[in-house]
Amino acid sequence: MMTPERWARIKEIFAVVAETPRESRTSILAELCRSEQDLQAEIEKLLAQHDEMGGFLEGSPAPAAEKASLLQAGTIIAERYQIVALLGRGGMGEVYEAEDRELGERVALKVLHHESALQQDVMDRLRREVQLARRVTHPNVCRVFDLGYHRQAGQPITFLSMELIKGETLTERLKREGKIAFPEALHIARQLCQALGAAHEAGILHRDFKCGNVMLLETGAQVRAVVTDFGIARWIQPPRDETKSFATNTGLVVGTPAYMSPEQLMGEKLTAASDIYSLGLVLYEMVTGVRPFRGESSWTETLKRLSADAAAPITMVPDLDPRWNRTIMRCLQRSPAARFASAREVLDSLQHRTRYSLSDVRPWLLATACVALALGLGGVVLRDRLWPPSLPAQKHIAVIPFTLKGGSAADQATAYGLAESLTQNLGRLQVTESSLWVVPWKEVRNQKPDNIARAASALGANLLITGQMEKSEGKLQLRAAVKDAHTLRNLRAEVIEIPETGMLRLEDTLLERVSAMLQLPVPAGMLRHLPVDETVEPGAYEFYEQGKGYLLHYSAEDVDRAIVLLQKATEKDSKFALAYANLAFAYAWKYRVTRDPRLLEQARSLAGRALALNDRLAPAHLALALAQKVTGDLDSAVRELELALQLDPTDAETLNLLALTYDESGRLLQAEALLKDALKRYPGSWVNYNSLGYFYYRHGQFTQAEPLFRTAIELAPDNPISYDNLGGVYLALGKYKEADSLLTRAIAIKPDANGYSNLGTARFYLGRYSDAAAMFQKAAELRPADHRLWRNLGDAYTLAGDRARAAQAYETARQELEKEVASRPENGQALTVLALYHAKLGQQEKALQKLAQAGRIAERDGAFFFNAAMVYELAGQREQAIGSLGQAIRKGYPLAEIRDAHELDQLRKDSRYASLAGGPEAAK
Amino acid sequence: MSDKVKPEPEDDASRPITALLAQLRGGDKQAEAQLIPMVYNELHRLARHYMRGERGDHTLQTSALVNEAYMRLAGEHGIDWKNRAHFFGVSAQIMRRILVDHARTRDAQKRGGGTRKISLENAFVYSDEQSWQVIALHDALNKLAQWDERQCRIVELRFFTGLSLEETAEALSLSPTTIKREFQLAKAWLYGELNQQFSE
Repeated sequence: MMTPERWARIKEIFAVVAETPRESRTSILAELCRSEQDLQAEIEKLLAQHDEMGGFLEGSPAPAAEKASLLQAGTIIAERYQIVALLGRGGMGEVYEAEDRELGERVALKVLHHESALQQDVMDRLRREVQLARRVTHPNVCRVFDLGYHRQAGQPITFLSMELIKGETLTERLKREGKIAFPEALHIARQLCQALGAAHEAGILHRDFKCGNVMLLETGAQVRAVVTDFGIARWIQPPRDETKSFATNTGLVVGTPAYMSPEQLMGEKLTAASDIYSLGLVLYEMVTGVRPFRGESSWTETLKRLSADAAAPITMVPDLDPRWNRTIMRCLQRSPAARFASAREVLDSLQHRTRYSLSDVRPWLLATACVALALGLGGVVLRDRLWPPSLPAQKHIAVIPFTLKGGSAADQATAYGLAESLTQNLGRLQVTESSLWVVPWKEVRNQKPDNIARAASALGANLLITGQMEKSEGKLQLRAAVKDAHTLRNLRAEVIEIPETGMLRLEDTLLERVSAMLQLPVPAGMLRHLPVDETVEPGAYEFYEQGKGYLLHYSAEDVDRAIVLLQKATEKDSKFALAYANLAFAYAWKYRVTRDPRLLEQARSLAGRALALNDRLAPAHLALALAQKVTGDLDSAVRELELALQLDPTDAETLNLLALTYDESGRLLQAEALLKDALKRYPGSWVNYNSLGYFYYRHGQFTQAEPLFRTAIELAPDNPISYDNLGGVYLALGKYKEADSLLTRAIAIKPDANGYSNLGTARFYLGRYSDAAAMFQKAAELRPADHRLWRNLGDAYTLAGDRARAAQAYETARQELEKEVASRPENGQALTVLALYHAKLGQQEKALQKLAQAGRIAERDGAFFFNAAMVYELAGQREQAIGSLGQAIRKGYPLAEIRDAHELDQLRKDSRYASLAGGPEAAK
Repeated sequence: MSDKVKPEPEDDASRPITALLAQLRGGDKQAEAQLIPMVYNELHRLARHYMRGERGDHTLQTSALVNEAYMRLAGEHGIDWKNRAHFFGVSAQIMRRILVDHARTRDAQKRGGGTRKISLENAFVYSDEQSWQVIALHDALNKLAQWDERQCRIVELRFFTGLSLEETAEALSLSPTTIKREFQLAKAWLYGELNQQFSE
């Protein structure tokens, strides 16, 4: 009989014997049992069981028993789909390949478990989710077609028909190959971001985004990634009773805890940010090969994510791009509000936001408002008609917005629109005239030269076209002139008279006459390319012209006015394709501003209408491309833009937009090729140099960008845009001297706070602290509410040795920032900077206090720790400073910035810094 | 990058259960008595959800169930893995009770002849087909408890609630090596027991 004492003896002996190698066991056992036969026998039995038991009570969960598949090959479901083969089993049911006999295509059928299918509330939710999912058409999202029902042997079967994706999951790929190497990782990441973005735009959350839901297909050179089971995964699991009111089906047991966001695990409401978190985990796994906190039990892994920060991926993959590191860590923030707000932002962060963006992001096409030029031309004196002076051989033309004498605001708009049309139309002549270059409308609009004397050097033109319109008694009179851009002398001038009924042909007429003035032949058939070739109701056309004129201003009220007018145009003539296209532009712009998805829908359908009426209309393709681009469907946008460019190869807007879209969708080589080609075709165009230069600049290829910007400046010496860009390049390359002289010139053209601040920065890095201070002073005066400018000033004074003024500047900075903090007390980052200002003012206690405060609410990212390090250092706490700096570096904060921070000059000499920064060569 | 982040409270004793768990860790047996009803209610309620309905191939992840209970009771501030281990310690017995009760209802419908292979590996994923094994295990454990209470507890923690070696060690204030040794022997013995029961 067994007793506790006997058992205790068994335990001791067993422990020893079980450890010994098999050969020696019997002898050891005999020795330890000291000739107690039954004891020995008992232990021998136990040992035998021990050897036999395998994974009993331990080890991985038992695999699901192999059941027969529900449906057999050859069966016909719902009188439409013929089963071809079982593809796999998932948590929700089985997936089959089937032939859709109605359409003759192969699809995937996901057949749900009977049990799930029976729950009414689950079915309702599923139906709703499918409705949403069907709306998403995106190459990286698995299309969902339909929800279907079938009966087999009396059992109801519910199934989903979806796009057939035959490939391997990301999980399988990672298992096979470990982590994914860089260019491919970016390629896949991009597709994942686009997929998530597209679904979120359509209002669906995935809720179960994970490596297992990403399919990879080898299609040609690069792999195509497709995300499956959007929004559906959550509903097709063993259902739960919701006796408690949780906003979403929390399903801790169902779903995949390993990829769930903290708020999901806590049963809170899910948002797009939850998908972003899961995206972060997927990216993490892609680049490192493992998930964060991979520990012993899967629940430890999950729970740790709730309370601790993951190890930064860069610690496992030292050559990981620090941008990726930062991006992933931000996605994995435990607080949803601290993550990126959209998949789009994640992609931007992964791809190309360099820190050196001194210039504004170019607002392609959908720019903000601009004010029409009002040029008082006075009477045109046609003295020169007898001896027409010669026109330059190379014609670089800028059409200046027309002015209007008399007439309403609507007429003003028309005049404005006409100038733009002329620009477009003249631009089309570039195809056949290699000596011609027309400054794109956008540049003219951006420039707003106060007097046209500067137009030449600002726009790079040698010829200007001006026009003054006068409307009286139903007759339209346009006094058009061709001026020498430098001397402003009239080289040609004409008065064009058009009766009202001839409005329709106005654009044609204008083009004919102006090109005659310019001695540019209009190729036969050219005029047929103009949109107005069919009969358009005259009343409609006028509305269109006015509407378009307003639209070109791209300000909120003007766009609304444009919509009203363009609508009237379509009411008068329902076949007026161009009016629909412009309406689509208007709605696309509004969508971009308000983010109201109904506006996007309208833009899309209007573009569709325009195309249905005339698919050879470049603007219609452009409009559709805009709508697609804005929802992240970059591939379709590229196709549309290529079409538009084919139809109208001279349109600068289309070309630049296409280049940008290539860039954003990762087709960098194509973007570069397109821009280079434009450059080759129009070598007089500073705009194209600028575009290509900016492309390189954005991708950090500063040495290539530099010569391009320099050429742009040569061609248009008074255009501040190229200066901004080139200045940025110089600063990035550390060419501070060149930056200094360049930015000095930029200030002369455009004296604004940014310009002064940039110049100050250049001088600062040159060590000319007093000069830098002077510039920062000017900048701060121009924009006194910007605390950063005062901080810069303070830093310059500090290094110039003027402590009193430095203190004054820091004090102002602190005050300005205090205002900001008061209005937004939850801004942790601002608090951190405030702590820094206190530290700079020598107010150590306050500084540490604020820092502690900030530490409780700020996002503890690299920037936070970097600032904290500076605060500690300035407060004399070297130990902590080193600690914080170490954290900052671990979180991927750029070493270059640390090296440049003068606040840390002493710290960098500390021997502990060397090991932090990875070797003595890192220390300054 | 300013975001709305909830400020962390000064201490995480905001939920009664965390205080109780802390007491339990400190060795306060009283705390256990107070914890049990709290935990039982929660576990039972959750278990009912999952076991509701007539599903053939029903899988129940017990550890997940306990986890869920823990999170609901302890909230996000209770995520101290040591507390959790103790919570699991308390839950293990309850979980075992719930599972066995469930298995009994299940098993009654399923008994039939034929060969039965012992396939109980992990209560992480327990399926109805294994219900007879759970009952057998339960009976065997009761037997084992007569001469080694502690070993029985270890099996409960490892099997019924899926705690890792470390976590089990923490819950019982023992070293992981001890746990490993004890568990090995317990398994060997239980295996024999189950085989015996099965062949009867």
